[in-house]
Amino acid sequence: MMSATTGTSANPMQAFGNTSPCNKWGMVIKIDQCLGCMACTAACAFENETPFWEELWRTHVEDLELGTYPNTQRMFIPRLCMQCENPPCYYVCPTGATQIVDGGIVVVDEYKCMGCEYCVEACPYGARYMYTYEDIQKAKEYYGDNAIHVVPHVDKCTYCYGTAPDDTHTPACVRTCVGGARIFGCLDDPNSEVSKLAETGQAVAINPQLNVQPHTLYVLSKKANGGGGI
Amino acid sequence: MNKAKTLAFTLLFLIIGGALMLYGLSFEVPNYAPVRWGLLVIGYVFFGVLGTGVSTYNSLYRVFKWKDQEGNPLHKLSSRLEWLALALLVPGWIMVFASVYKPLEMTYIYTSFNPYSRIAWNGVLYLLVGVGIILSILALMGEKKDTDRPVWNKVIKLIAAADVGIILYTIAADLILDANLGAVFGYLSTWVLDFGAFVPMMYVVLSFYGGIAALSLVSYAYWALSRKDDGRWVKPVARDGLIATLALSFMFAWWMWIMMTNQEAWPWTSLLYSGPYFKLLWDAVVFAGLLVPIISYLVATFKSNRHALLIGSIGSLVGMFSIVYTSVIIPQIITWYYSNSPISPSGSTWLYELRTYLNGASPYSLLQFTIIPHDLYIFVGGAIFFMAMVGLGALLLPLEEDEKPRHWFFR
Repeated sequence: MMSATTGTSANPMQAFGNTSPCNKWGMVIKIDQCLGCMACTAACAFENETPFWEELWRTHVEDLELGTYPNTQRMFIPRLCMQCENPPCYYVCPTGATQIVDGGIVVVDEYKCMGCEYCVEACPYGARYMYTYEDIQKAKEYYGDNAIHVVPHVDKCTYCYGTAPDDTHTPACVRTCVGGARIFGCLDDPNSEVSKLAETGQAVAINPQLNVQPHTLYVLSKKANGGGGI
Repeated sequence: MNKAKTLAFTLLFLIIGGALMLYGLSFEVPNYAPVRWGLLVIGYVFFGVLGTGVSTYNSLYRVFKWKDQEGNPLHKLSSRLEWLALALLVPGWIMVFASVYKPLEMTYIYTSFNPYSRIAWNGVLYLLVGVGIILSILALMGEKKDTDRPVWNKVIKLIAAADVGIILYTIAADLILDANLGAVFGYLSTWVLDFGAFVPMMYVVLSFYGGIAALSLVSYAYWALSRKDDGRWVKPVARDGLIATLALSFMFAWWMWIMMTNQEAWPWTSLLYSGPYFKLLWDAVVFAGLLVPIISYLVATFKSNRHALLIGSIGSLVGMFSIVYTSVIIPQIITWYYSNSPISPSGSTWLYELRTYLNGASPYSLLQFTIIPHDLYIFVGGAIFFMAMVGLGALLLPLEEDEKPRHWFFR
């Protein structure tokens, strides 16, 4: 567990005192390079102690079957928080528990969260879930007294904010991705790979009409739509 | 009803209501409920809008009949009705607290206020409405001449002097809270747009419709128990109930028509129109909530008939609960995958459509709404607690016209 080795807490509001070297962290997911091995999901679950016993994850992979027999294909779509620049979850949060911190990352202060789930309802990407009292107890069974989540709250992906290594800031899912489907970097840095993919239009936002300006972008599949991409 | 009986029933309701709510707290709230906002959310909207409705309706009569108080048909009931408004808000507040996982953290609504959040505004508005209603009650007591009293009496006399200002403030806070409650459930990108446009307006109309029903029902109960009532209020209240029901019928029909003729909103409406929520729309809303009150209020208006008013008010309360249910639960019933991308533009990049169309699955799936024991016990306990609040008012406060301040610090 990265949190144990770095000695930080899961509550990002307390965990991360450093100033981020980037104003706009982003992730690009190349759908065709995802193998569906779920290493990202497992790594994230260990890193962030997500309630896997309830099958709730900060990131997971959707397994799609396209077409009809015999012309079928399989596609894997990694899902996680889009780290929107204009996040609906942030605007609806009544207690100010949802915050945008260094690097444009959306985090939840678990001590301020009152658990109304307005943000869960507002998120157009379904990226949030409730971490309940029962989950806190269960986490203690699995992780002992050093469990990183100590109070109920709404949980979500934070790009491993506060727990990723200080030199690269790379989230656990990216570090473990077998097929190189996930690329992490600074969208503000014109030399970064994520920035180039975004600039050239290869990486695009999902549901752009919502105008939430996600920082998690997708290089779409060439398999679907007769090879024309999705 | 004599004082001893009132005391006995009040204590009974307090104990049963309190015990049920505490028992409800012992049940687990499941981690993943497909429909997250359930009975307690319906409950706090229902009780909240009823409370503001009673207060607004009573206050409007007080303002417009300010110079002719004897001409105000609710004049003799004013204090009791204002207390009724507060008694209705209290279970609403309890349900707000019980509906969140960490009620104590609600204090952050006030210390870290987020002006973009409708729920944050709800927290503030509930407080402002509560303050307004309490000041109104104190002002009504201050109007009862009883001068040779200590400092506290002077304070309520002072409050009574600012009566009109307090009433206007309370009306404004009431109406804004109603609209805001509607906006909470209306303006989310994950919910179909027509909810956002209509629900705030409809909740304002609903507050008159429900408020009139609640005050009719409780006033009927007072009359049935005490027989001390000249019934002067029956005819005008029935007339106003009729107007409110007609207004709500128009709003509801307009809302349904807009949604039925909108490609994006159609799936939601079809659940009500011909789908699994068929009975909710036709039996509970249209028949019990609109047709029964219209006929009953019509009879009550022309015949000045209390019993017809009672039937109308019961129908209205059923209708109100069903309409709040419709506006809170129905938008959550269909998965958001569909709600975000109902119409496929060419070259769509919407992954969620892939999940449905390319998977050969149905265009959307229906989620199951079940009432969990935690919510059920707290809701029922809250409703019983409301009756205890009504009893407490009758016991402790001078709510009747001929009643002088005589209890507690009002002595």
